Amino acid sequence: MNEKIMILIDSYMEQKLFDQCQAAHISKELKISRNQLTRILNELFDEKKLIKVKTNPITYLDREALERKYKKKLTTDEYKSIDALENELTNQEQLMNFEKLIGHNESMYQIVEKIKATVSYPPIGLPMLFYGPTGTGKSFMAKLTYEYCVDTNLIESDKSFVQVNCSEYANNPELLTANLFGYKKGAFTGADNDNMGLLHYADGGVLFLDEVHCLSAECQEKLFLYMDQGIYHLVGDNSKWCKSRCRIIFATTELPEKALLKTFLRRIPVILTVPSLAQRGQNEKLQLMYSLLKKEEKRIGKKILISSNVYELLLNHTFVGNIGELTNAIQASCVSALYNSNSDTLEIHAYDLPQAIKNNFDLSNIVMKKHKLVSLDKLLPVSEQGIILEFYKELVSLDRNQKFALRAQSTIEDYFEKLIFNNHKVDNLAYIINYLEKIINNMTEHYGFKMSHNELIAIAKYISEFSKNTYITNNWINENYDEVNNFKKYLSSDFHHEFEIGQEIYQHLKNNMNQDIDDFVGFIICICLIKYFAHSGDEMTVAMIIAHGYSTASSIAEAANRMLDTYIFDAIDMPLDVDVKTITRKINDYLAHVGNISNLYLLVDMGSLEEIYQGLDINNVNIALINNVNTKCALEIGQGIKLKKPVKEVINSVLRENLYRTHVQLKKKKEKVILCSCASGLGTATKIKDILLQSLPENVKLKIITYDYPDLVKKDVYNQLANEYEIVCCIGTLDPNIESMKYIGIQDLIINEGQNAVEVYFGKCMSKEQIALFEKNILHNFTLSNVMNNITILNPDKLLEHVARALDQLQSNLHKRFKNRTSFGLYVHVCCLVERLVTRQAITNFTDEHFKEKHQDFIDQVLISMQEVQRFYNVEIPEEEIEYIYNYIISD
Amino acid sequence: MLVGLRVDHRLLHGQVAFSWTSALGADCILIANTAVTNDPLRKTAIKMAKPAGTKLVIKNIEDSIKSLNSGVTDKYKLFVIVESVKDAYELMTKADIHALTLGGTKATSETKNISKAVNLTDEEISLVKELIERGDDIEIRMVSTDKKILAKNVL
Repeated sequence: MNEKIMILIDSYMEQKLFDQCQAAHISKELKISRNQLTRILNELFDEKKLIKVKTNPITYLDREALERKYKKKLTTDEYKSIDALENELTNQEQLMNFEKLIGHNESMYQIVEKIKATVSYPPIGLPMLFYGPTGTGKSFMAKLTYEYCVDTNLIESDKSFVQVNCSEYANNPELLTANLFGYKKGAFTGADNDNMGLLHYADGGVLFLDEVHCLSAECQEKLFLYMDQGIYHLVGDNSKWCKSRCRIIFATTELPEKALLKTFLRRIPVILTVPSLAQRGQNEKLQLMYSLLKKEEKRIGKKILISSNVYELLLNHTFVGNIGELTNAIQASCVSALYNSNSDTLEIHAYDLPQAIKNNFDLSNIVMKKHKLVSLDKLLPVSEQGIILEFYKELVSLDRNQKFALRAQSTIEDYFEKLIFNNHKVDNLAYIINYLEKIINNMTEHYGFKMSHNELIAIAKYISEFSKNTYITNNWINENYDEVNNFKKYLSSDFHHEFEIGQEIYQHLKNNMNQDIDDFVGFIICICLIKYFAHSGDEMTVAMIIAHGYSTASSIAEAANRMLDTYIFDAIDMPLDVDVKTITRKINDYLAHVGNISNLYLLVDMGSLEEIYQGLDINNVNIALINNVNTKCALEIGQGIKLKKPVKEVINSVLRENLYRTHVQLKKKKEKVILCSCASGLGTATKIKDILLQSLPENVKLKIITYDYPDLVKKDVYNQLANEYEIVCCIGTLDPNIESMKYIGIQDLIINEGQNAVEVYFGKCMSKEQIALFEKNILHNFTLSNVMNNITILNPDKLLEHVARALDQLQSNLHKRFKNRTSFGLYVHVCCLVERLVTRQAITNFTDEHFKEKHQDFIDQVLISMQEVQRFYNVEIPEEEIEYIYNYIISD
Repeated sequence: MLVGLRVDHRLLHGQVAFSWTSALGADCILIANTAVTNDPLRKTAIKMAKPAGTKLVIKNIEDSIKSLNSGVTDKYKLFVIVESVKDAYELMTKADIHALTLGGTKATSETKNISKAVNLTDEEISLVKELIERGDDIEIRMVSTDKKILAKNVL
């Protein structure tokens, strides 16, 4: 019979029908009595042929068959569940209560510890409240709390976990009250039987009231009594007290102070805030993703692969609904993917994700990144937590002697190598590299060192690795505080420069990366940097630049360090409102950090700083102070330090080199110019220039430049001109339309009517008299250039001079001032007239026969004015010609 | 409508401006001269000398011929002034003009004095003769009030 039973169990196990390996089923199948069977099964169990799985009812399995199949010895005879057994067989340890909570030893550690303490508080724990946004796992934690109580025998295993969601009763608080406290038959319509209530069922166990903010005030009050004394009335029976003792857990998404009665809240001594998914960090998010996907994998029975895009989208999406939403998203994606899947793997692509997450999809990623499918195992953040701790431990325990730097560096390199070798995970490395590179580049400029790209990537890798192990590293650092602190002190004194830079980088990373970073990041960067800076071993030299002004010293130091390609100078800026005492203290603080130094160079600018060495707390150090610090002298000294020259020699070389060399160049006044420009070419421009040159009154210093119109219109040509000269105006025949330059058309200049252009433009460089003369000269010279065209025999220059004088005379005789336009016409006309008379071509007819009678007066005036002309050219102006002059003048 | 074509080496100056434009009742003066169109300064001077209320146009010979032939000038009482006989000949032969006044031309070593203010080279004389033979009406007159002298009588 024993054999028969074993064979039957084996065959069920083959078919994975574990629920049939139970007494009831076997007895039916083999047609033997339950009692007999139970006896045999127990025998077999005692012989260690069978194991028990404490399902209800108990399942019996063939030990040998299992061990053969999984090639593994079972550790015990009894298992809590099939899952537990399976976990052991598939190499996963059975997780107990809170161990199932992802982050139970990281972000949730504190909370879990508090929960444990609260429920353990004798005799029945204390009421506690979980407060946190929706989907953060409050109910799950309540469930785990119950399991913890069972596992630690705080409560008996047959006591219940009773869960009530108060929001379900939000519209019917009486019903909740009735269900919670129970009721007497007939207490209200529909109360057909006595009901003992949930408090009764929770007696000795755990009562979990979810969404407790939905609990009516009345109901909260009723709970007081129960919480205080463990007694309550059934609804409809106020005479009899019921008793029940249980651990109570409340949960709410609302701010407890606002959502609950103060008196109620006062009775809940422990309020735990459950962090949102975002607050729990990427590491835990990854673990959650892994565990949720794993669950789906199990459910669907297919291996799940996810695309790198899905990975990134899920990782970077902020789930407002926290784990709940993440769970939904993953399930929805699996459903969508399953629908499209026909192989034995399930591929989840970005398009399977819910719309809200897809919306965040950066389309450029699709093109840029190689589309890659990864299996779930690769999601898991590093489980090799040991490595990073090993690494820290090794660093801290290194001998702090001369070989420290070398050993530390090789330790770091080994570690980096491991990380890079371990390169199978998808992570946010690119992001860190990007940040780190920016920060390091910045530092490079400041301190003059250059880090190799490989090293940069390694450091980024380390930070990324580290960020997945924050919790354990932080714990370790806290536990070994003294040791770590000693290590820090050692680095900061023996490798001061590097340490300071490392700290700076560390600070930048900390500020920029939204990530918690521990001190070791700074230390490790510091050690990486050691090789970039010269360490002379016994001789340590410190050089400081100290100068007035808010960044003078640091600017000089930065420039010198960069030019020297080495970090040599430290800088102390002395803002003008800071006194020397403060600066002295700063230097002393600095020197105290640095440790044993041999040479100290102080490069200062002036004043009280020149005596700053007097207040320093140092002994037996070569001190050299130089005033009038500047970049050149800093370079000189830096070079000397680099070459390890003795202090005296360095200083002497500075003295030799640093004489002032001067070159004085006084600024010159910009010459004032008039530009002449003409669209028809330089010819006209030159003519205009000539007219202007001849017209400028003496003592007026104006240069006149001709310029090709097409050139002048070019912006750069004009700018260059404007740079060199002060351009008074441009005179020409076509406006170059340059906004900042005044332009006068030649005609406007000559006619000069209405708004007096000459006065407007030249008012600044000429006096009134000069302007009047200039105007007159322009008209004269312009006329002359025309007269020349028209006069054939006479000397135009001389002729115009005579005519001009004559017409001036006429104007004063007539008490009249001709317009320029008229003057010009008259000049030309009269000049021509004189020549006509000389060549005997006079006009001999009157236009108006009565001219002579009407205008004898005018004829006389003209003749008087022209006397000299007539005499000089030996001509007589006939009255007919005077009529022409008259006609000219009256139209003025 | 063309009211007059005149040769004057001074182009536009007092005499022309006041006697001829008013005598002819011209409302538009066309200076047909290639050199002036390229000399902004002379252009300026000529513009300054123009009688008030008269439109002034300065064009080179070629463009002048085009304008005259195209009819755009028809709406004006147009008075055309050229610098030389040669330019006048160009216009007359190419723009179908049959009357010309010789106003004044410069005396040079190659010119013969024809009348008080008119001096012509042999070449110019032959051009004038050609025009006369064509049947054109060519007169010598300095100002509008002078008596007109027919060129064919002097040459």
